[in-house]
Amino acid sequence: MSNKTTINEIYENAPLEEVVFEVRFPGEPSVACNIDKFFETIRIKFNQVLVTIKAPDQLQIPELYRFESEDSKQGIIVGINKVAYFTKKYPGFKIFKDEALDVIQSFGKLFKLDKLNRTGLRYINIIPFTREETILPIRNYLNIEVNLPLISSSKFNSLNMAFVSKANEEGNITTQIRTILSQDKTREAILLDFDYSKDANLVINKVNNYLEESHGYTKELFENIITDEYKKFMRGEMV
Amino acid sequence: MNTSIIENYNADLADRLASTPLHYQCSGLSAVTTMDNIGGNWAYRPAPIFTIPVDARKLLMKKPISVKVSREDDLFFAENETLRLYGSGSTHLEAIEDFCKHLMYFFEHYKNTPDSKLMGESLKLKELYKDLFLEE
Amino acid sequence: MQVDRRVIESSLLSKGFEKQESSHHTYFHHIYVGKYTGATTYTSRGTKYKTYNIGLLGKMKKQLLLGSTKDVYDLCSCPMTGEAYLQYLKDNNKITN
Repeated sequence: MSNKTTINEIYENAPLEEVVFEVRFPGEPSVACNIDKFFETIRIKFNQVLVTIKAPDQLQIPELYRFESEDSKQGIIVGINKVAYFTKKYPGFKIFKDEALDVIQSFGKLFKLDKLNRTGLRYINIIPFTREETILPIRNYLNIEVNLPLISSSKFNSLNMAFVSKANEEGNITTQIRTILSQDKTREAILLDFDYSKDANLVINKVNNYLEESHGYTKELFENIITDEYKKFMRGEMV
Repeated sequence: MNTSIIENYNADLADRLASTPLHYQCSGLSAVTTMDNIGGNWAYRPAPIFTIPVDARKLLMKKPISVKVSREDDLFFAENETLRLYGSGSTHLEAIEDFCKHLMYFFEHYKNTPDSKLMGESLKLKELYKDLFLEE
Repeated sequence: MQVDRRVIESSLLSKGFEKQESSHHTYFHHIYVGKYTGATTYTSRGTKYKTYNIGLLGKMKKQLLLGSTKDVYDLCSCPMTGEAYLQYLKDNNKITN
């Protein structure tokens, strides 16, 4: 198990696929009417505009706007009750936090947000694995163990687990761990998905604190759930 | 091993998760998760091999071996450039299995060949193979 | 670009390679002055491997210490002789202690 001295380590082969920070607020219709004003503040960096429409052949207001960078690796998602910043090329927490807060605070100022319903920080990790004969050798990758009479995680062929747990006094964490197969069937992976959320007594001007708290807990969980063996691989210590 | 077996494992799990006994409903997870519509192709990353099965044993690697799996037409390949090895097969699992067979062949080959019978690149490869396993 | 497996095997044997059989594969080790040079490749048995197409030939490139799939094709069919291959290895410093 790792100790706190490794919590800030940056890994060469980190399995992190995508990170999203989202805030939800009481429905604000002015978002739908003034989305262009928000777009003007982010246009330089996020000039690709995509919309989510349920019935493409009908005239309607988009449910969600998605503004992406040219390479589609970063973006912002906006609805009348939510705004989120995501990235698929995580630059480390400090830079991610600065970018996310820049978006959220700028949005919050424009639409005069105050109270929030929810904040969520989600880390999606994808860990490619190789089977040992037919078995999913989960203990090579994750420090999890399931022992039932006659059934052990050392004999799993595949796995799908999801649970919500209290993280601490203030937050909840939704964890998903399951096996997935790529579309072209060349690789299998373990999806390790953490979603730290808060939903009580939230205000926009404390978003920085909420993000720090969410990250701190999730990072520690990640460091402790990944095995030392797999960390070698993440550090590039491999053939 | 046929990939359809893996797809069956996942389909069985999905079926169980979707099915709830009569007169009950799924309480399940809290419905609210952060940005549910995340998705898209996941970036390619190699997978590690930690052990090699040999007869009834498992040989542990000192360092994991990185394996890149790809597909060309109807053949799958599992490769490691440092060791100059590739395995091939009709599924990604067969390709990895084939890769492991070649790995063991070359391990034995270099173990049993004295330095006096090697030159150039083969000496470098012998050094790589010498340190592969934790125990035999 | 494709080469019959039997042509590959006979070409390699005539160009300084020694054959070693295992249960599923045939290995070819290049030898010079009685020593293994480290250029080694293998062919597989089975119906999918009766002919080696550009994909399979491409995988052999690094094993044979060659620069391109075309070079692999030339070595495994006729154009590149054993002497030319040896000279290529020397020119590219693949045969030095």
